[in-house]
Amino acid sequence: MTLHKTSRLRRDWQILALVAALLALVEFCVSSQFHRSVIILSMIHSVAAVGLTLLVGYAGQVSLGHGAFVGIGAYTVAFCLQRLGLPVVFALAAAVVLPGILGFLIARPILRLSGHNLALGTLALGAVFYVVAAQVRDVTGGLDPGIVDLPSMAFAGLAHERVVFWLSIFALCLAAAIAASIVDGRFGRGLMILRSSELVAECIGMNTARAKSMIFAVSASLAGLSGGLLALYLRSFNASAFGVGLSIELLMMVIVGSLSTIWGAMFGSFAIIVLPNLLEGFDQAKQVVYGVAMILIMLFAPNGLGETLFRVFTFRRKSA
Amino acid sequence: MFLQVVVSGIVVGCVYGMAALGFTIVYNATKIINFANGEFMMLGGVLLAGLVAAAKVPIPVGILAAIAGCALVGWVLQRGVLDGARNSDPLTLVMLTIGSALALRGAAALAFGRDVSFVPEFGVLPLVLLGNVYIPSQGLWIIMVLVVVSAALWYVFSRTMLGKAMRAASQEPRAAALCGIEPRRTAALAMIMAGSIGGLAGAMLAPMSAAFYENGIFLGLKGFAAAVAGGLGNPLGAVVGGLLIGLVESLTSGFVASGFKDAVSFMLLILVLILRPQGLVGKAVVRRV
Amino acid sequence: MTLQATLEIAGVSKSFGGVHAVADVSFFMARGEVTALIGPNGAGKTTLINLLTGVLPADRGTIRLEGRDLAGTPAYMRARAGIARTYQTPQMAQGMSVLMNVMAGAYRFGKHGLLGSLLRPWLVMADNEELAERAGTCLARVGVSEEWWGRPAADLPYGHQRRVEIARALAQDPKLLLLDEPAAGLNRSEADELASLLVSIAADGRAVLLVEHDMGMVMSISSHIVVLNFGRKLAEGAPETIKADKDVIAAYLGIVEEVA
Ligand SMILES: Nc1ncnc2c1ncn2[C@@H]1O[C@H](COP(=O)(O)OP(=O)(O)OP(=O)(O)O)[C@@H](O)[C@H]1O
Ligand SMILES: [Mg+2]
Repeated sequence: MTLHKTSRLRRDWQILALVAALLALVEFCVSSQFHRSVIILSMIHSVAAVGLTLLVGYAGQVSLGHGAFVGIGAYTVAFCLQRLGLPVVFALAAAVVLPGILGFLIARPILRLSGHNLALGTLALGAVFYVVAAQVRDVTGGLDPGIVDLPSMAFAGLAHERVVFWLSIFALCLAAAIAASIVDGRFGRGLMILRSSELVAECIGMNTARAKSMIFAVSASLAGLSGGLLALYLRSFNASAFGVGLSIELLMMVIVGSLSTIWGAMFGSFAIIVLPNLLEGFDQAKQVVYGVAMILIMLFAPNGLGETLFRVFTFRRKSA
Repeated sequence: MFLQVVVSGIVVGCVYGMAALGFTIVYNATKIINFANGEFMMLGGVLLAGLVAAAKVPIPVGILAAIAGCALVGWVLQRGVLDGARNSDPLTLVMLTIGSALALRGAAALAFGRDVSFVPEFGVLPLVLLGNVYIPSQGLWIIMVLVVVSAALWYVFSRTMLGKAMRAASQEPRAAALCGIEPRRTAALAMIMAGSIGGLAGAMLAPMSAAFYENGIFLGLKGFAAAVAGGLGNPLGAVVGGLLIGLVESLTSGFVASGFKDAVSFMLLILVLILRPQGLVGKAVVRRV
Repeated sequence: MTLQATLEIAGVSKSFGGVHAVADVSFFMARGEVTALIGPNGAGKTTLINLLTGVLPADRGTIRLEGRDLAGTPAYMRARAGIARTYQTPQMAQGMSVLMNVMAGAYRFGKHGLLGSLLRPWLVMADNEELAERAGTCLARVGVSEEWWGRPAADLPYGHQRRVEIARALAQDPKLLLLDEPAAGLNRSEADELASLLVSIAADGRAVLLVEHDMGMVMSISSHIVVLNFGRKLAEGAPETIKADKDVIAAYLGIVEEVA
């Protein structure tokens, strides 16, 4: 029985410990302000991408609107800090809970759609959020000025960036732990069945409508957490950060990483955040490169680039 | 005031109707939802603006060039990208067309810059005053173009061999293949048609609402909304749906708040998808288990 | 007929537009027995399975499991109440190993859902061990040896997929097992193995409904046969009765005997 790795959970926890240790090490070693910010942004986006992997990769329900939940998380944090004067911990908790509840409520009607209709519906949902966020100026500040001057996170002699770095490590590990214990348990197996056939999932006793709502809610919560952290880190932002572009970037992160393991999302986020910063003059050609990369990946590695590379690599080693 | 709002709704609706037509033609030929359809319109506008403003090309030549350019892009999209993935699952196809949309948007930004550009009105036609309702000259152009395009499409699909072949290929792909109608060819044709219509619509719209490389996303979504409201796959429905979306938008911005007009048509799209996926006028279809 | 039928179907009907796929069908099934449901293509057999599992709502009629009316009970609740099934074309989940597929079948025996696994992830491990144990037993029983367990289920040969499907259904520990053409695509010796497997499954005290075109298998292992034709029940009885029934021969067996 042990031969077949009945519990992948143990392995996933080992990976998690490794990732946490690595990130902590990086925190101590990185001196450049620029490198630090790239890594922080990668981690923050990873949190949302891990959640989206659960929804798209495991449950097979595509969402082109998750940028909206990131936005809701960000505005929740801003509102809690600026208007309600709550401590950061509560603000972040609210940024997890509120998108989760909204996600759960929206999921039931929206997940009655499937295939390209679901893609269309979620895309439209994300666009609605963007329009509303840009218009409801008394909460969001609209496009100009947006939210400005959130408090600095500097704490006990640690600079703002360092505190956010540690917060992000913590959030990312939390997200990964949650995702791992979901996918490696019976609920995760049920989701994988559901991805292939809703009929079969019903017939093994899974309440598919509820399961889909729950996983949508979890992914919305993680997107909210990611948005909350983003707000804390940036301190000033506006609605344009949460448009359709963000939703597509999140989905790209999942696809560049892997559709079948939660660890791919980290690789994907890192790739999507780092790439534009590495190539000289890349910003100009950013969208073209993204678009072409997306086409090539979907044509030649539809399971995710990270996963395909990993397979090729391990296969080479085995056969060598 | 009310009638004026209705008129501008109809004018915008005609543009959305054209967007929905391209989308419907492609869907009928390949069952693919082309998320890059809005980019055809963006390209049409940006190409026209680039040619007219920067290269001082006369407007009619500019329009023809915009149509040709978008048709070419459509052909490349079908042959270069979608043909290679004909048997993929919906998610892959959706992602492929989104990737193409991103690439087109980026290419437009690189080639024509990231600034909003303007195109002069086409002129020639007069500004019409009916009672106290104005129909702007560009609006007349747009209405006329939609009428001509619809009539041409009706003729092609019901009277020519080519159009009949395309319809057969979508309804009975295997039988059509046996009769020598090649699905790859009809798919490419459909995409070329969608490209041309999109390019034309984008060019017509440019004098009214400026050309901008990021216009494609929202124009695409409006086109989808129109096509879905009219019943996906139904060309007449697409035009009606376009007019409907245009009216709803125009009424919202006239009487509620102009900032929310986009949100209202997107909400409409979501509601129709969920509550009446067969469209506002279509009949229900039985799902097989 | 046993006093308490495991399954009791009375006057069940379902039509699609103008097609009467199942029309006014009634019969009983008893635990410990294999009941066969036969009939020509399009007779309504698969539709009846869909009605029993609740994935399609019946237009009319009642379905009782151990005396309890299932009207309005959704498919997943029926599965939890002890109805399991296989499919006419095997439905292996993509990207899951054989063992995982069967573990998924034991869904209703898992101890915690999403919230539980979030709050106490360590329990998930123990739970997984237990479900894997159960799945392994079922796989061994249907004759899929351990070397296959780690492979992607969707890549298995057809015959093996059919067995894994039965194992997945068994992992649900069903009171009622519905099998949609389990012998299709199997060779003679595989079909014989399947026949004795079904007999032993029934001997556990389960009610087994066998939809099958292989008349040899149907006649040798079923205690009771129900014949459908154009959605209607044409005849019902012991194998000997059915073999002798003129209507059945006319509608169905005649064709099969020519082939046999
Ligand atoms: N979801 C559905 N929608 C419309 N018609 C259906 C549906 N399901 C089945 N039918 C029709 O109902 C009738 C019975 O079909 P069913 O699949 O139950 O037959 P069957 O006995 O299982 O046949 P086979 O031996 O070929 O599997 C057929 O005429 C079929 O076309
Ligand atoms: Mg059948």
